[in-house]
Amino acid sequence: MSEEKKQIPEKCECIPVRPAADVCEEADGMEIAFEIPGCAADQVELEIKERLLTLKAKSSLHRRGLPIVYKRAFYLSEAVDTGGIKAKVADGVLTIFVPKSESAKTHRITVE
Amino acid sequence: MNLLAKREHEVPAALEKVFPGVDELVRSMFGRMIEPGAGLLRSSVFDSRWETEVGDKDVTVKISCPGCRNSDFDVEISGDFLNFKVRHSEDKKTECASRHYVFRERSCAEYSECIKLPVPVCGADSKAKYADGVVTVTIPRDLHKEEHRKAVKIKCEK
Repeated sequence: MSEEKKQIPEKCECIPVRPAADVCEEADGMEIAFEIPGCAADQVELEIKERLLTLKAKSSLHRRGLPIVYKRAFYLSEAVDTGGIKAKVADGVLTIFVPKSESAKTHRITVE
Repeated sequence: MNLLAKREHEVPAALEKVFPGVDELVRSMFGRMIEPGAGLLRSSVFDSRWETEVGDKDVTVKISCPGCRNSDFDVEISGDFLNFKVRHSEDKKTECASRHYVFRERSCAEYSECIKLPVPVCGADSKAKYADGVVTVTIPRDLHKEEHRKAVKIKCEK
């Protein structure tokens, strides 16, 4: 019961918002772009645990008097090289590049 | 090849139990639009993109417009109204059209808003800047105009 009481104020301290996202396929990987206006690069937390890519970013914007926190998560397939993931933030857009693993890449074979 | 093995896992798991599969059902029927299940309890398209803060000397309006350039904005102050318009450049639209999207939620449509400012302002001295996907417009308050305001006292008759 005490744990429940502790959880309620934590939920009220910020407004969780699901950011809009684009997922775009490219030849050597996937590009995922999240709209996170008001977030500087140091406010963005990105982690991968058991193929679950989780985003959490605290914004300088407010809604109903409370700060906005962007939260969203994606499951990645095994055809992804999680070690090579790169991310950057520019103009309120977080762009994550997820490279394909070598086995998932398209290999063109010349017929002799 | 879809590298996203499953659909995105959403945070409020308790809410997903209350509204099982409603989001998926509606999405399959109408595509991506307002989510009536747990989505309704999250932030939605009805939440405004701007916020206003009144200070002692100025009014600050913040409008979220991620992924834009300075040249995309058209901001003007007319009386006590702030007229705001953003239009994505044509080369960005062309770039978006040539890409292969697995799914797409971000919009590159034109957006405009007319915001009534809560206090009288001096529009000529206003400033605007764009950082981290947010346009911040700072407009000085017209304190001279505010002096002419008259408070009305309410009499209580017994």
